[in-house]
Amino acid sequence: MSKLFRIIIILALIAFATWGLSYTYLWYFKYSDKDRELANLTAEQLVSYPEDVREKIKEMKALRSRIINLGLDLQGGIYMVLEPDLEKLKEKMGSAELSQEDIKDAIRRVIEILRSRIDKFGVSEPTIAIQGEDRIVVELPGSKDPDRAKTVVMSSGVLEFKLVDEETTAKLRRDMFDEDGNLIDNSIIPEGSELAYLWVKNKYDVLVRQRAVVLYKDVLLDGSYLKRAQVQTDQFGKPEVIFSLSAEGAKKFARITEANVGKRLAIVFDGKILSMPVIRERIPGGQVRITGSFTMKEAQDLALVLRAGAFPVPLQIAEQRIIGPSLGRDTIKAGVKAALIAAIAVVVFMIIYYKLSGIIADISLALNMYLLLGALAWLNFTLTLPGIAGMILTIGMAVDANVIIFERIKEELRSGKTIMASIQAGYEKAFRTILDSNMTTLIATFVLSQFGSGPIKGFAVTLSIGIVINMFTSIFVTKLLYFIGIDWFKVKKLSI
Amino acid sequence: MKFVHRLRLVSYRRFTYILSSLIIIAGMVNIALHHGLKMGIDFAGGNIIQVEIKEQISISEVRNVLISTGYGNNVQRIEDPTKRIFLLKTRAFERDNDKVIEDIKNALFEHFGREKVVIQKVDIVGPRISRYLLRTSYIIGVVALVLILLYTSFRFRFRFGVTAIVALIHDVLIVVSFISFFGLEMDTFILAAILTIIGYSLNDTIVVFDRARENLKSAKAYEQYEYTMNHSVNQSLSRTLITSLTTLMVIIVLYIFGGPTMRGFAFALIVGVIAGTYSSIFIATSLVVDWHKLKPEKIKKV
Repeated sequence: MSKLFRIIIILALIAFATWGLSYTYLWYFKYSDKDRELANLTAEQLVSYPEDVREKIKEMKALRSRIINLGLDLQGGIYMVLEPDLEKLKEKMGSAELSQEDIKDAIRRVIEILRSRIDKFGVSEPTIAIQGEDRIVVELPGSKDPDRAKTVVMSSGVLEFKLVDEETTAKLRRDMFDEDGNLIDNSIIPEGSELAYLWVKNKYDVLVRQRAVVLYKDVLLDGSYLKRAQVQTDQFGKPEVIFSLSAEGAKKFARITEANVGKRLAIVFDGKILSMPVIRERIPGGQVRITGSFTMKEAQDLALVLRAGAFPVPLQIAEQRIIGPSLGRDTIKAGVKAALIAAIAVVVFMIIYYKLSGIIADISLALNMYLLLGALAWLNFTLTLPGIAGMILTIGMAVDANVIIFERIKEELRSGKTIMASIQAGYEKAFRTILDSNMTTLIATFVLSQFGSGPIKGFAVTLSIGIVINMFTSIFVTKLLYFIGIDWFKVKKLSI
Repeated sequence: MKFVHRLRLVSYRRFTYILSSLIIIAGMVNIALHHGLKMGIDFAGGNIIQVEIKEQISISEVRNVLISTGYGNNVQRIEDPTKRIFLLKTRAFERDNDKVIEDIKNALFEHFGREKVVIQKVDIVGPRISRYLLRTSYIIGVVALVLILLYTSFRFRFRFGVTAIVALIHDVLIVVSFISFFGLEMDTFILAAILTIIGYSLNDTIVVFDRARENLKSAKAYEQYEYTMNHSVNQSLSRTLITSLTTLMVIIVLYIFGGPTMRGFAFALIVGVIAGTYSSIFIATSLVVDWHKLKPEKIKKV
């Protein structure tokens, strides 16, 4: 192969990698946080923006699909594996055995609702996927407030209207409850009634049970009659959720309010009483307002969950990893610092030990890392800390091929061959060794990459791509550099 | 590194066999005494909250908060000179692990005040997931070993393949022993480290065996079997040492600067690389030599 041809191949690869990385560069270094936020906007939110901004949003979204993204551990976020609570589903369906079809159907509904909630919530690159038979994996990278996102995802979304059992409630006394606020003797609650709690925020902003209330079990109206939900502020600036009922719901609600004037109606969401206003008069028209102990954001989230509807089956968290954004930043810093120090240490060592040939190995190492990043960009890869660890390990192992070659060349030189012949023989003899020794690591990392979707996969993928590129740069590129040195610069003595 | 050509490395094998056996036996005994390796949250299941408290408080204060919730008393402090970061751990419950986390969080908020408590990380691994991860890990380990065994026996003569695998198992056992000596918890990161070591260890051994294959060309080379093998180790010695050195450099950097998540992973790699280097120099070829003494290898035509 002529030198020129080799140079063209290498330059083409560099250009290709640069092309791939240019998007990543633009995304992280040319655009501001505000621009990047635009890519998180949902289709629904998009409508309210003017035409030119919408174009920009589309552009940002397209850009994001071409870059190296940061994983949960690096930018914070949520990873959750959810399982349907099949016991509860059985109860609900009133059957002892569930058919495959029932479960599948429930899962499908759950995913629909999850998607609708998450889409409205707006996070970058959410993933919702089925794992195995009945597990649902939800990934929300980069959510600024993971706690809030989690509440939106996990809320069962069940809204119910129930009347307060005033008679029994009046009988409740403090000494009937234990330290945790649970009723000691349940016999006081009559058939057809149940105990519930009014939840309010304490001074730490933590939602706590304020007091016990007895409700009639009958659900007068539930969230399924709901048509729209939106947030407003009342005259005191307090947020409230206003929703409209469907025609049927409105009729029903009018009847209920008419029949129960003067009584308290509890608005129960996810089993917690949000508020219990007194019904003053018949309410026609199907406009209902919910006030409660919530902030503006929480009111918005409540409206969002109400719009998306309730899960057909409660969910259990099988696995959950929440990483706060500050921890992610610290992790990136640590990872980048480790990578830089590792690279410098190896580069310096190679120059000290192999002199000019060490520089050749370093050039190939730099090229190796650059092409690796380029490949990751083209794959729209999500970089995690283990991914960075894979790269760091690549730095350490990448010089191996060159070490094998250099040691061979030294041997050949010692046996009295000319520079050119030694280089030729060195590369030839080292090739098989390099191939064999890299194959085993490749097999191990390949198997490892089949390990689920977790961070381990990121490690395995970066390491494998790193190794493949390494075989190219450490053999093909360094050989070219030697020949350039000998032919063009008339090097007579090998510095190795 | 010319001097190394005179080293009679293979002749130290009585000593190295004993050394390796001692470490591995001690490791296995230690594991048995502790009823197996300590399993981290990935494989045992559990709940962890990593929290930073922005106040001068002691670990026992945090522990008391956890005790007050009734979920045990497992609190650790993460080494950090400037911040007070704690890990609060509980076992995994069959259901509603989410509620456990909420309870603990609320207890922390109430005790220290919401603005002083920064929740950095929350991990929940339920019992079904941990069983699933454990099972997958076994499968992954076995599949990797079988594939590598197939590859080595395809590429090398039978004896070399078998000894390479023995050296590899030796390395993994040493790593596992050290994990137990230092009381590290097995998690998916350490599993990844072990699989990487499997690849790396073989890589090292293969380079030496490649040389041996090249040197075993004449009848004379077979007659002086021990000398030939020793010569092969010596020829690849500088490469083995340099590569191990550069790899070790980067892993040590990772250990020091990579943050707490990477520490166990880097530690396992450090032990693994050292063990892999040592075994490819002292164990793998020595075994081939002993095998030849027991049952001489037939001369192969090249």
